[in-house]
Amino acid sequence: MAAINDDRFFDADIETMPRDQIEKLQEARILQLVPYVYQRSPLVKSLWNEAGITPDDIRSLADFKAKVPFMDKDMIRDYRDKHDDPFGGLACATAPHLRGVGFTSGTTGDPTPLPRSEDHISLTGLKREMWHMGVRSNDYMTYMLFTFRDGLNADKWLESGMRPIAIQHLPNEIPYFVQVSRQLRPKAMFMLSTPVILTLEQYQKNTGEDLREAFSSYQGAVFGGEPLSPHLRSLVESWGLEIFELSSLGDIATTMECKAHDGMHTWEDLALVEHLDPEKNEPVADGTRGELVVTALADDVGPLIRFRTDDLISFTRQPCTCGRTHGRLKPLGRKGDEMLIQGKSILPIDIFPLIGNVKETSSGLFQLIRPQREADILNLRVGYDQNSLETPTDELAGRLTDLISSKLDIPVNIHLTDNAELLKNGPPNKIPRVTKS
Amino acid sequence: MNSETTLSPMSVGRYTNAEGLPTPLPYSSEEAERARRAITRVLNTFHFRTGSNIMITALFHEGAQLMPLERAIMSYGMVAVSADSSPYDAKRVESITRRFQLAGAAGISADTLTGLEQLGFNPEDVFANMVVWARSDAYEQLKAIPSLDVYHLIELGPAVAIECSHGSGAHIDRFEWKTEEQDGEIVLTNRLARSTPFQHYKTGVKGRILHDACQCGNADPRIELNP
Ligand SMILES: [Zn+2]
Repeated sequence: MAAINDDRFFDADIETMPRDQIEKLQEARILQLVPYVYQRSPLVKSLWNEAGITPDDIRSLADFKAKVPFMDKDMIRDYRDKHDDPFGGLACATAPHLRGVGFTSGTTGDPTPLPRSEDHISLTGLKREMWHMGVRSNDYMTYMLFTFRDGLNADKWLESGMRPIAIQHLPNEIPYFVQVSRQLRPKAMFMLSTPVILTLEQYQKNTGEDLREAFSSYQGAVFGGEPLSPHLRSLVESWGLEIFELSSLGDIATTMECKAHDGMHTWEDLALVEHLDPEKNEPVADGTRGELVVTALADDVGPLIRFRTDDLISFTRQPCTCGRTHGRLKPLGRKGDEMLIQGKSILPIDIFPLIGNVKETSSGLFQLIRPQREADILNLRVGYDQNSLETPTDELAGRLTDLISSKLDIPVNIHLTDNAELLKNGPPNKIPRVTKS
Repeated sequence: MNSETTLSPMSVGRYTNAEGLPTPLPYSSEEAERARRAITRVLNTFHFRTGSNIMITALFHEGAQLMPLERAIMSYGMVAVSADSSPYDAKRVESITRRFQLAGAAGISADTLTGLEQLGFNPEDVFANMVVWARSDAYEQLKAIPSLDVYHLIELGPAVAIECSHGSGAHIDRFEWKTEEQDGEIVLTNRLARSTPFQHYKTGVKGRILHDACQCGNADPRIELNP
């Protein structure tokens, strides 16, 4: 096969690898990984012993997917607490091969440690994404890591030739961020979040600055952390920015949209991606709803093995129009947020666009009332804006009921609440999307 | 020095300029590597065991100043455990000191101490039994706790100075910087090519420079802060 020499790709051999070659590469990495993690990771050994599995039972990728037991966050935490092991039984190496420890954002409970070697695997995928957006050698990119969790890693971009401008991901850094954008004219903006966008909006109002001009050098802006509301999307687009949504691939790597904006590319040389029925643990069809389960393929320090992410996704292995061949996912929500209404899967992401397009409820504030997973009717609490109310609330409730039940083909019961009242349930401008009552 | 020569930057960090404003600081991989070597000269004086864990608390834009420290810890054969030095990350700092056996904690800031206090943690317990390199705004508070082993980490705009095991002033790289005292203020001029040159840069740090032989054996000059 001729080598691919195409400037569209940072790593053309990997990014455009045919499906059969991707699977061959995965199998080679898995077969090396299996005896290695069994001998070195105490958590893996204990889980596999419990399941009666040894490395001899795994002779192919198919064996791996059929036999290897799953792990999840609770198992890692339990192991950590029982054995006083900060790595939760995942570490396969010590210093000097083990170089550093970063952490997940850890919004709930203790943050999970992420041990690493000289390589920063999460950046391996990001370099491909930034190149795709248009960053080339000696170009600057703003580097506002969403959560600072990987140490001071700006030097790890060296082999890409890209020059990251490190900025703290904090609302009070916005004036500096705008200043640097004008001064150094970076090519990519990494990355925006809801709080940063809202602060930029406020900054523009207060200073009258022309953000479209300040951001004119950017060929794209990455957004992540949660689903992007239509209001914030149009705000960012009004600054002349093309948005690329990004998500985490179960803490192993990142996954990001390309210019086709039809799903986020999963890097299957870095992670074995499984897309499973959350209850039956069997693979589900391309394009349907399943749980993301990941295995780290390029990490010999603390690899996650068949890690259940609790993230529901739709997934396709169809090659993308951008020329890349790796699978693409669309994040749908958390497993614990899913409801089955008369057997039909419903998630907050289904409600989001419907509510957002009705004027009185365009703030997008709503909650699924979920006393348990299954129900015959969807009970939905929806916030409305007192000032844009033109009809009585029961008329609005009727319109919403008709809209949602016809679009989603399920019975719906709407509970209207004033936005201000609903916002008391959570931190500023954000509420839990699912509630027990 | 040929002042015409500048190095191509690897990344852009940040420093605070003479007017107190945040300023982009392009820096090269060569500068980062030279600074790593200078910091290793200081780290060596503690005779840490390889395999030890050292926590490093920093802000994301402090790459030019503190990435060399992180790399020095790693190349020594130790593990760098990362946290943010903002008040919001004090919970992680506490969790790291509890879960990891730390030989040292570097870059502790007043913000971290404030955050710990708000969470009800006592620095005397959190930083017990380890070497602590405190930034100038946290140094006095920690040094006042007799049971702690506290050393200086002094921020000097684009540079840092770090105290050795002898504890008699913070060493600054003598090859990289011409370090002078002007009206009681530390002033820096680069001796080697950098991405961003500094001529008589006023650091805002009040102190004096000691050139006599340090008991630790490192010939880099030391900065002693004015009391
Ligand atoms: Zn694509």
